[in-house]
Amino acid sequence: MTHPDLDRLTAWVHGFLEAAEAREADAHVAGCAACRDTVEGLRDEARLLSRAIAAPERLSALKEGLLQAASGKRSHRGLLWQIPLAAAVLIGLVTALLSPGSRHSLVDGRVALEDGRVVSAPLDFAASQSWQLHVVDRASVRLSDRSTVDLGPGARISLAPGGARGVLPDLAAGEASFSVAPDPKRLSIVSPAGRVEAADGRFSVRIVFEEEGGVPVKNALAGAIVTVFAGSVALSNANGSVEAQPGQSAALARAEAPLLMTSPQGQQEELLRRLEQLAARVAKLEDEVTQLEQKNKQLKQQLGSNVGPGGAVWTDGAGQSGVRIQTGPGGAVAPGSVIIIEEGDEKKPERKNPAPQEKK
Amino acid sequence: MPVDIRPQQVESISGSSLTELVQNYFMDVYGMCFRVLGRPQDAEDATQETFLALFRTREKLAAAQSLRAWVLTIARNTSISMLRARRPAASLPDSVADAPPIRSPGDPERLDRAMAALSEEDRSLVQMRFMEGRSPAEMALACGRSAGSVATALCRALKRLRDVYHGEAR
Repeated sequence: MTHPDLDRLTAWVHGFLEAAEAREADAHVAGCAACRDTVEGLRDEARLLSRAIAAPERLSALKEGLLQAASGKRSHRGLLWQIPLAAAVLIGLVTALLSPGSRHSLVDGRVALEDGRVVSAPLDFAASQSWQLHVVDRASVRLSDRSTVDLGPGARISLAPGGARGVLPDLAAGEASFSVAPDPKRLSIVSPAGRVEAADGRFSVRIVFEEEGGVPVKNALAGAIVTVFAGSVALSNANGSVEAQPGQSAALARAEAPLLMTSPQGQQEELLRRLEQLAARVAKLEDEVTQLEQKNKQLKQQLGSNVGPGGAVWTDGAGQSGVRIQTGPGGAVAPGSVIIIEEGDEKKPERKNPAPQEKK
Repeated sequence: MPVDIRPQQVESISGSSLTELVQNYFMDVYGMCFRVLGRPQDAEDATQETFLALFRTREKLAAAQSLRAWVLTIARNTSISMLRARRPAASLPDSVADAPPIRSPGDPERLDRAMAALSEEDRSLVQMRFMEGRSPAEMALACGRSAGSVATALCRALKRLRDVYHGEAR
């Protein structure tokens, strides 16, 4: 078995390997103490560099000094002189200034960590570090900015410090539903094909791969489908940006500007609305038919009982009915002749006794 | 109906916008200064100088078409003039074969010097990953390259950093 070289392990630790290579590295590191030690060294190095490049205490003190200078509360001069003092005073504020929340919480479900360990809720993660979570079945994570992410089976998400809200979720695979805690600053979510941002609201992000035999080929071919349920969501990548509203879906693809899709949800709603209209009309028609039938029946009964001197309505019990008119002496119709009007296809009075023409 | 803004109001508006300026761009400015200068403490100085220069020329802020671009230009110029005034960075020593990762606690000054010895491009990658915590996908997007090529470049930058750091110890 050959060991992955330092570059490969570095790429693995920082999440740069493609899925298949990453799995290979996962498997090797799990069984190789020497590589595990190197990996531990790389993680240590990452923490060391983070702190060395941007020392939170010093930077928060400098920022505080500049804020005071901006609001006219402090002279512009000698800000750095005051850093050690300010650092001592502000040390408690450090996490608040540079990383808004201090912890993410796994509130439901189970996830596998980068090193393969499977952990279950409830569990907290320090927000100052990066975490790679691979969801075992389903999981729900409350981020340090109080937003909630519900993750579907198999979803892979990394939570790194960064972005306007101090946490930068990066969805690499699977599906996640975000409920964004309202804040003027937008929560940014990274996907393989671009960025999704919202200040509040609810939406889902699904990573899709151009598949070959059902196996994700390459991260480079991945895109994301975003469906918005509430609030307004901005999608952007190097090629452009678009704003999606509730009920809309949009697609992010690497080589394309973000695209609003004709919303399947909107179509369903439209269809339902039309079906309801149709159902209402059918119901109305049925009512009308029932009313007409009743009226008809009443009429029949009325007529059936109404045998006047001129004639009578008859029915034969088999659906046939008609009016019998008997004219009196001196009429146009000869006395004793009978005209029977029947309901028929032709709606033409049928003359059974053609007597009228024959004048006597 | 047009709103009549008196000079006093303009003053108070820019007062609050200066605070916002610090709130919104502090880390961006620091990042730019770090990228140019390499030493965190120099970058802190340059960050302060940048904001003070911005406060002094606040009237230009209102006129700037892209505030962020303007702020970063000032940060860059400030850093570059500080860089010129500073002693030259250590030149890269001979490469150390397979220099191991830099482990904690580390020597902060040696690390500073090693970071100052990197190219601006290398530092920009290191900064994106370790200061801004950007993901591979984000870095690829920011650099306009594939994640694979960003990974190669980041590995190379880290290797140079380790080389200088460990090389100096000899």
